Amino acid sequence: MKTLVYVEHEGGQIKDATLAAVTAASKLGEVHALVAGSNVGPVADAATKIAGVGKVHVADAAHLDHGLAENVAPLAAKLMETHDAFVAPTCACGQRDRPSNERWR
Amino acid sequence: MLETNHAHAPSCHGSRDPRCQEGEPLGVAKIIAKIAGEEQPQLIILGKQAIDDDNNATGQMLAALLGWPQGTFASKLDPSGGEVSVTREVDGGLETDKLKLPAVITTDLRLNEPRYASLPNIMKAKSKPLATKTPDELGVDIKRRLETLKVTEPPKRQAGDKVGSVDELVGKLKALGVVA
Repeated sequence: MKTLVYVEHEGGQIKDATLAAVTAASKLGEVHALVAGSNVGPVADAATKIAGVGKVHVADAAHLDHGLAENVAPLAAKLMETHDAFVAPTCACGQRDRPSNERWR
Repeated sequence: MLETNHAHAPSCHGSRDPRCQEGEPLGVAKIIAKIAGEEQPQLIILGKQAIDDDNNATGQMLAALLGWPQGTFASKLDPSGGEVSVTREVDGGLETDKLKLPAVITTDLRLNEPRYASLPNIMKAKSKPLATKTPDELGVDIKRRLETLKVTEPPKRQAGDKVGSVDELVGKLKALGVVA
């Protein structure tokens, strides 16, 4: 099973809840991470260093900056064509992205 | 107003009541989306999460199904023209988003004071037409996709010990290995 984990980050720092999400996802199998935002190079680098993450998908664009569901969900939905499960930390941001994912339609 | 069976169930924790087996977020979102398509509202307001399953997903799913913007955990709404400003409770404070209508809003506790219905209004409400439809009539598939495997109560808290003096407290802590 291949799982996509949404990386929650702010001010160039990955939030701790993301680490818990990766640990949980790693129990399902292979873990890929999704880093979305603008100028997220350093965050993506940090994501590659999280134990258990096999691959990091980076989406660097201005409209992804605030992690709005309207912008992030279609991106995640597209990536879900090649993943089996989506895991997001329970933060204010994951709470709106995750259920907006379109694959369950 | 949309009424689901869930609202009538006394409590669904661990219940095998058939009413508790209905109303999965996706199914509810599909039903509301269908009705929204028929009635064309500009704003749909939902609670942020159901008390029984804490899924916190119906509003978000509804927004995605309709392709409408979403303002979740709203603590303040300010509509003007074809837009609504939504103040949202997020991890580090408040975030204000501007949404183009039509939009989906889910509410936080601080949005407003509940308005208690007066007796005359309750009587008036009783005469309002109630359009009752089944999911089949709406042509919506609400097949369950989640299965509840287990529901357990949180572990009970153990009773504590009372100590008579600081020395006794330190002694007990040492015995437990909490302090050296």
